Amino acid sequence: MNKVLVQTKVKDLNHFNEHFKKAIEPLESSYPEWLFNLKLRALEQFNDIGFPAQDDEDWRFTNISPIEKIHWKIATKQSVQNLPEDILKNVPFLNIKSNRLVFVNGFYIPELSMITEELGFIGNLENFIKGDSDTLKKIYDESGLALNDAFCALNMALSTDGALILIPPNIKLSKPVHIVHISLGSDSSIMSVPQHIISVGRHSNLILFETYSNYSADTTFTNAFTRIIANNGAVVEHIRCQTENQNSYNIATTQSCLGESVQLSLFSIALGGKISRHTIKSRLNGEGIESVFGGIYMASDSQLNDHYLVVEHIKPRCISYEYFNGILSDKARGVFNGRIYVHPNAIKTDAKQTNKNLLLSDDAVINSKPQLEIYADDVKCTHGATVGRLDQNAIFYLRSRGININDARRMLIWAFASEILDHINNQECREKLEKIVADWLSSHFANI
Amino acid sequence: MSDKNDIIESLVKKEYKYGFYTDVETETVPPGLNEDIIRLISHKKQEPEWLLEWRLKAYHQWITMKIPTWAKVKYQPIDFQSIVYYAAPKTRKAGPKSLEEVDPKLLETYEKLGIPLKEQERLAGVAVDAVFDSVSVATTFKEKLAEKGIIFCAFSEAVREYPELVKKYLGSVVPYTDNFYAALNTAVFSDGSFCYIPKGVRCPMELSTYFRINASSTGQFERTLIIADEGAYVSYLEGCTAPMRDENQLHAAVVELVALENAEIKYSTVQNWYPGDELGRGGIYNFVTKRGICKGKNSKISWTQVETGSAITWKYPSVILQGDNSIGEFYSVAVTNNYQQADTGTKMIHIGKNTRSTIVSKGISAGHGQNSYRGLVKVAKSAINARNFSQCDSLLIGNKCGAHTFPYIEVRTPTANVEHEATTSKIGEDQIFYCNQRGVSTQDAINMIVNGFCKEVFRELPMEFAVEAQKLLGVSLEGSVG
Repeated sequence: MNKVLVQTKVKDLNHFNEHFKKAIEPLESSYPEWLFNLKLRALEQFNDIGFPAQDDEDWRFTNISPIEKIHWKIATKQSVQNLPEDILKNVPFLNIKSNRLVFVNGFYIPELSMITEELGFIGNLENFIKGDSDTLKKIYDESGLALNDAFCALNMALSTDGALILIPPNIKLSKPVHIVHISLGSDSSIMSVPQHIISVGRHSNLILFETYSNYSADTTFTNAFTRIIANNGAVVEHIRCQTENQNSYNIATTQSCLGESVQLSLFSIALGGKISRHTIKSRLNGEGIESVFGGIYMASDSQLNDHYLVVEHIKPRCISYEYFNGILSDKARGVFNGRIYVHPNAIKTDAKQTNKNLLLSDDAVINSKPQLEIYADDVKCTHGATVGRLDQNAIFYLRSRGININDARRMLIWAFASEILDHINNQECREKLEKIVADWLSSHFANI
Repeated sequence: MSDKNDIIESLVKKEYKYGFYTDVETETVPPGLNEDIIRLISHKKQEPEWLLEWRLKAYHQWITMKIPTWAKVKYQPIDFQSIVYYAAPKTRKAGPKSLEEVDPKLLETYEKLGIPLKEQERLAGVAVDAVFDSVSVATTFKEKLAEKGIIFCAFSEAVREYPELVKKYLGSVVPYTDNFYAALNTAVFSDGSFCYIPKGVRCPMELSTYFRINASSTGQFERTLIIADEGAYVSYLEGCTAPMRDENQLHAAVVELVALENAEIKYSTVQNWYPGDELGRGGIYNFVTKRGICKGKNSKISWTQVETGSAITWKYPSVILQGDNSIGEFYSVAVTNNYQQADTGTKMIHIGKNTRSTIVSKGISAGHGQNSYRGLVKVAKSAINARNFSQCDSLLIGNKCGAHTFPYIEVRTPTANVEHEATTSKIGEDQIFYCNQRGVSTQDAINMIVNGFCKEVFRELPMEFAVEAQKLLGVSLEGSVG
């Protein structure tokens, strides 16, 4: 086993291996064997594939060499001692009443968390690993874990904590669950590897917020991995909001595995990060699933924002709608890569994908790649992508009614963004997001 | 229904039984590729030194390149050292002596496609008397073209007669460094067509390889170069609707188009090469690099293709829109039946101001066919007010086939307006029922619906071609629904 650890392909990956040796290997005795083996396998996989380069088709437009160049210090529990008092100051959605789980640099902070729900389990992974290993194994198996992505493999190898939410069947939580993640920098560049697992029982109902923010302007790297299992008939609304600072890097994956007649709406709002990428993979593994995937990415300065989406239709009669809108200004780059994959048996599939992009400056760049892969004939699949600037006729219309040009532009951009927000069911959350988007617009486009 | 399918399939297969093997008189070189072979090809064709050097450069580039694997097609790896890279033009003596000797079922297909008798003979490879050959027709055309100053000849002839023109434009659109197969083609290309339309001339007729004397056997590594000088116009047809006999498995052609200021080139292709049998054995690999450049202002290049043949079709006719206000168009119908695979689409590279491009792609998959659209719309920063509209629709017939769409959109200027839309659907049972109810057979109903689906593209084809293409589509899809 040690042999594997030594065989690193790329030199730069060494410090990840060293960290594994130092921080993960000592946990072997407290971990169930299957989980530790899984970690070893994940590390091996990571060493094998290394960080993706741009000749990898999936990473064609996203150059992650800035992340590779930095010597990341993987966060340890010590880094979250003596937290500043106002650690929550940048966290969105704080005043929505919720069951709150707070993580700093990937570690659970019970003092800041608030859980009022008594049904099921809402807590963190770390303690659970030592306890009920069988339940955990079952969930791991159900989630259809895929480690072919370097960042997922790295997360799987190095992570020790994260949220664990287990909702028993036939339950409707009175409040949403909010997973708060805060990256807290220090003198060296900190990397956090939170891993969240959410399992929703049959016919249960869950509203889940997942937010990522920084405490300060330090350079941090968050490599998050979230898995959602929604059992037959579950109703899940998941809203992920990433508002990290512009010096930080955020690479995250959300995998979901859906059972029969599940209703899922998943939203990704990405505003922050120097380089941010959100991979959303969803397996529609039951009949009659209704799913909506929505997203807004807004980037300015030299930010790079990437959304990578794979929706797999495995069983017949499922619906998936995807709506992603991007607003890019200054020298920002946007990447959208969406793929609908329809398996041979997935007849009566109804899949729709739209990606609209607004370029607000001469230097903004968009790379859009909406794809369809269809192996069944009785399906209804469409996709569309547009790139353009603000509609000059619409601006003229507004100006002819006495609205000045800046207001007219802001109004149109706002309308473009709120098109996505309108799909969000949870009203409180939608209102908060509207405010976040509006604030972003007014801070970035005060004078356009 | 499946009976009919068998007939079609078997005739396509049987075609190959009729002794089209290497003639005793054919000069061949040993299989494999090395510098000596290239020198030999060049020597046999009496090429000038610069062309040989260029071929050698391409060869050295080629050996450093890797076989591209990104396309969504599956096939056995090709052994490039087992291919014979040079065979002197085949004499016609190998073919059957008259139409009576030709497989009647093959003739049946020709009948269905409405191909004239003389043409049938040519296609079946009958050694016809030169007087009745289409060659004689070609000569009359040639005179007419020469009057206008249009050069239309075999590539090797152009190298001898018009070296300056060839030297100036050859490789200017598809350099030998472009890709694996382009490099291979550059190193070993056999022959092809050369066409030059002088300033301000509108070519009075549709140019076609049909009418070119030495075009009767399509080369394995063909090279086509078409130049439309300022204000010129040409419409060029490639291929034909009838199943072509051909014993080469790999086809790696290169087509280059150059349109100068105010010029327009319209390039139409109908490709119906041997697609392999119903189990996917055999068939042509069609790996073609086609690219045009709109060099001057207000120029226009339009690609129209109907792809029904080949086991694997892998091509992306592209347009580089360099001149301001230039226009690129791509209209495509690709049909895959049985185990055919197609990965085709286009690239529109917008560089000049106010450039516009339109992409209309229709993919039809039946049987186990896999049909992919892969397209790139790239708008450079300089392409102010660029406009693109792309539409790719897929039609699935049967539940074992696949239809895929991989568009790439890369935009670097906010003034660009790019739209892409794609749909996938199948022929509805209600539609078929409606037709049946009115006395239209299922097969005719399918043909009708498919033709309606492809209408936007057929409209772009020259008229005779369009009629043939419609029939061809019917034949290609025969038996796909039972």
